Amino acid sequence: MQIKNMLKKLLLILVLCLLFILFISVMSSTSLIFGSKKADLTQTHKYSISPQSLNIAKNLPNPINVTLYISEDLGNEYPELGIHNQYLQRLLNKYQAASNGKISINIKDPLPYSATEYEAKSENIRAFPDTGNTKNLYFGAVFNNSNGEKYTIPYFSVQRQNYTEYDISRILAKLSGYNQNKIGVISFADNISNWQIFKKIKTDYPIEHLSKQSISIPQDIKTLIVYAPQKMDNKLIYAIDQFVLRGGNLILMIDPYAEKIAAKYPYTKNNNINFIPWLKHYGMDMDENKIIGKSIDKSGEYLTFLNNQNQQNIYFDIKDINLPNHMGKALKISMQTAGELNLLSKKDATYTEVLSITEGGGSIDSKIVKFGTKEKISSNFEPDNKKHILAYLIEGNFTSFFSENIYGNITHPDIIPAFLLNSIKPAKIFVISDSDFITDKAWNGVLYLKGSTVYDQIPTNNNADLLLSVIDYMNNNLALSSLHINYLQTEDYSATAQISNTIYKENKDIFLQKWKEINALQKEFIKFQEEYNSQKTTMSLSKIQDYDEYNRKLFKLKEELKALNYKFQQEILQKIHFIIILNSIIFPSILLLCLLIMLKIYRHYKIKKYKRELYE
Amino acid sequence: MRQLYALIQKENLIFFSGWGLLLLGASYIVLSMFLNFFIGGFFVLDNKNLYSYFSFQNVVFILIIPAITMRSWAEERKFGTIEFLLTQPISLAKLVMAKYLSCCSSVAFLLFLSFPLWIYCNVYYQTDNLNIISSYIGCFLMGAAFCAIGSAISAICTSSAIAYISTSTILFILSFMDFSKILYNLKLQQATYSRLQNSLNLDYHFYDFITGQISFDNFAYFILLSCLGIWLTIRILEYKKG
Repeated sequence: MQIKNMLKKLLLILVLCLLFILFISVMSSTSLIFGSKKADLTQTHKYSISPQSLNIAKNLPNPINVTLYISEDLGNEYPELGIHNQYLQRLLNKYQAASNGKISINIKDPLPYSATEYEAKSENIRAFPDTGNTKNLYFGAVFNNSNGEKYTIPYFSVQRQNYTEYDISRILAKLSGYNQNKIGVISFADNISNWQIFKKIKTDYPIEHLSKQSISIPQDIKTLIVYAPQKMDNKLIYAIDQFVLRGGNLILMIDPYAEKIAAKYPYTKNNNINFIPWLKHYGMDMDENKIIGKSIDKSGEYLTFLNNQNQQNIYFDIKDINLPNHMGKALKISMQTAGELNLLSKKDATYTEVLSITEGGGSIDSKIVKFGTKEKISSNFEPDNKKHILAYLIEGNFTSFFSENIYGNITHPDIIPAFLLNSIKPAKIFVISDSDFITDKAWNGVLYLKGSTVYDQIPTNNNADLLLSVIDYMNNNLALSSLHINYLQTEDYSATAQISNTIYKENKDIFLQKWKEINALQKEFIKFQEEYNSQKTTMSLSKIQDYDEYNRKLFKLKEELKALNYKFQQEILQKIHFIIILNSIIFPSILLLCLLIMLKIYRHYKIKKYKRELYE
Repeated sequence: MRQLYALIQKENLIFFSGWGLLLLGASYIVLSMFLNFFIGGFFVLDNKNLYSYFSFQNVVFILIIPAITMRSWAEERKFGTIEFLLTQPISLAKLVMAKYLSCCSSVAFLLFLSFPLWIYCNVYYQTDNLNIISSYIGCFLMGAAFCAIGSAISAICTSSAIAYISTSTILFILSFMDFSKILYNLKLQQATYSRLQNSLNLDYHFYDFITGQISFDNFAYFILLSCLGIWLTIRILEYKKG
C-alpha cells in the first residue's frame, strides 16, 4: 500500500515536471510565432513604427547590436522613466522583429561600482542620481555595427519621448551607410554657430562656417546654407553662382526685413547688391513689403506676426508641407514674419512648392507688422483665400547670373575656378522666405548649457527636422530624409497640469492684473533710478520718500502675488485631496453599498420564491 | 450547464452576502488607490491609460487573490463539508469549475470597484479608453490565472492561513522570477534568448496588456496558466478522494 502511494506521488511529481516542460515549450513556441505580431491598442498608435522605419529595419546591410543600459530601479525611482522604458523596449522589439534577426538587443543593468557601470560610463551613457541621491541610475543605449561604427543615446529623456522612433531610425539608417558630405554655412547674422540647430546637423554632417567675404566655395562642400543674406558682395554671389553651376546644392534662407535693415547702415559698400535680382535669376521673386499671415479661426485672431509686444508664430501642419520623399506624419513648422515667394517663369528646372498656405492665408504690409500694435495688425489683415508659397525646391540645370568672369581672365583651380556659363551638373536649390525659423526659440524648448548633446534638445516644433530633411534630400540620403516623425504631443497631460490649468484659468485675470501692476511699477522705479544715476535729479528728502514709497509699493505687490500663488497652490492641493478621497473612499463605498442593497433584495426575492415553491 | 450555474450562484451568494465582500472590496480599493495616488504617480504622469493604477495590480492581486481562493477547498475540508460535496451527483470537474468561476467573478467585482476612477478620468481628463479596456482584460486574465493557481494550492492545504501564505509566495515567485539567469546558461541566439525570456515572464505579458500591445501569446500565457491550475486542482482532489 505504501509503495503504491509512493509510486502515485512520484507519478504526480513526474506529471507536474512534464506539465511544466510542456508549458514552457508551448509558451516559447507561441511567443516565437506570435510575439512579434502585436496589436497596437493605443489611441495615438504610440507603439507602431512607421513604414519608413520598418523599411530601414528590413534593409539593414549589416547586423546591428543594440546595448541598452537600464538600471533595474529606474521605474521604482522615476515612474515616468519606467513607462518610457516599457515603451522603448517594445519599440525596439518591433525593429528587431522587422530586421529578420539583424538587430540584436542586449539589456545590461549597470549596478553601482560594477564592471557594467564602468562600461556604461566609457560608452558615454549619462548617469543620474536616484531620488535618495544614494546611487547612479542609467537609461541609455549604444548602437554599433560590425564595421565598428557606433552611435550613443546617452539618456532617453521623457520630454524627447515623441522622438524616440525618429532617433532610433536615424541611427539605424546612419549605421546602414549614408553620404556624409560637408555642409558650408555663410551667415549674415552673428554667432549662429552656437545655435542648437547646427549642433543637430553636426551629428550627421561635418560643417564649415565660411566668411561672407568668401570669394569661392571650397570644392569639398556639397551643400551650402546661406543665412539671411543682405547687401551681398558681388564676389560672393559670383562664388555661389559658380558653386551651383558646378552641381552644388544651395539652401537659401531669405528674410523680407534683411535688406531694409541693411539699408540703414551707411557704411555698406557700393558694389554690394540686393539679393532680389539674384533670386529673380532663379525664377523667383519676393515682395519685401509683404508679410504672410495665416488665420487660425474665424474670430479674427491671427497667429502670425512679430512686433515688439507680440511675438507670434505662424504654424504649418502637414497639409501645408510638401517636401519630396518626406513622409513626416505630423510635422509642425513655426515661422515668424515670413515673406511670399512668387514664381516668375519656369526655367529648365523643376519647381516644387514645399511650404504653402492654402487656407486662411493672407498678406499684410511689413511696416505694420514691424511697428504696429496687435490690434492694428489684426484689423489690417484679411485672409484672401489665395495660395501663398513660402518655400520652393528647385532641381535642374541653371545658367550663370553673370555674363563673364568678374575677375577677368584670372583663374586659380582652388580659389577661382574657370568660369561656367551653364550648369555642368544638375543642382538643387531650396529657397525659404524666412530666416529666423532656425533660431533656437523658434523650435527648441530648452536651451542647454555647454557640453549638452543633441539628445538634450527638446523640439517644440519641427523646424530643425525640416532643414535636416532638406539637407538629407540634397545629399541623396533618401532613407534619412523620408524618416517619420511621430509628433505625439507637446502638452503636459498629467492630472496636476490639468488641475492647475483649470485653476489658473479661473484666476488668470487677477494674476495678469497683479503682474501688470508690478511691471508698471518696476518700469517707473527703473526710470526713477536712471534719472537719479544720471544725476538729473538731486537727492532730497522728498525723493528719498518717493524712493521708499516705490520700494514699499513693490514689496506689497510682490507679497500679494506670493499670497495669490500660495492660495493657488493650496487650491491645487485641495483638489488633489478631494480626488483621492472621492476615488478611494466615496465612490467605492457608494458602489459597495449599492451592491449590498441589491444583493439583499435579490436574496429576499429568492427566499420568497423558495418559500412559495415549498408551500406549493 | 444548469448544475454549473447553480453551483456558481451558490458560491457567489456565500461570498457576496457576508462581511468578506466588504472587507475584501475595501482592502483592495484602499491598497490599489494608495499605490495609484501615492506611489504610481497618478498626478504627475501622462496617465491616459491609467498606467499608475494598473501597473501595481500584479502586486495587489498577489495579496488579495489568495484571500479569495484560500477558502475554496481548505475551508470545505476544515468544516468537513468536502466529503459531502464530493459525494454529490456532480462531476468533480464541474465542482472545481464552479469554484474557480466564482473566484473569477470576485476578481471581476474587485476590478469593477475601480470603474468610478475610469469614469472620473474620462470626464475630467484625457483617456485612452481602448488601452484601458486592454488593461482591464489583462488584469482579469492575470486574476483568473492567479485564482486557478490559488485554487490548486487550496486543494492541497488543510488550513486557510497556510493556503493564503503558500499562494502568495508562489504567486510572488511566479510574478517576479527572473528567467534570464537560467536561459543565459543555454547560450541561445540573442533574439531567441530575449523572446524566450519574455515569453516565460508573467510581468512582461501583463505589461503588454497595460501598454496596449497585445498578441495571441499574451492570451495563451494566462489561459494556459489557468488551465494548468484547474487541471491540477482536479487531479489533487481526485488524489485526495482516492
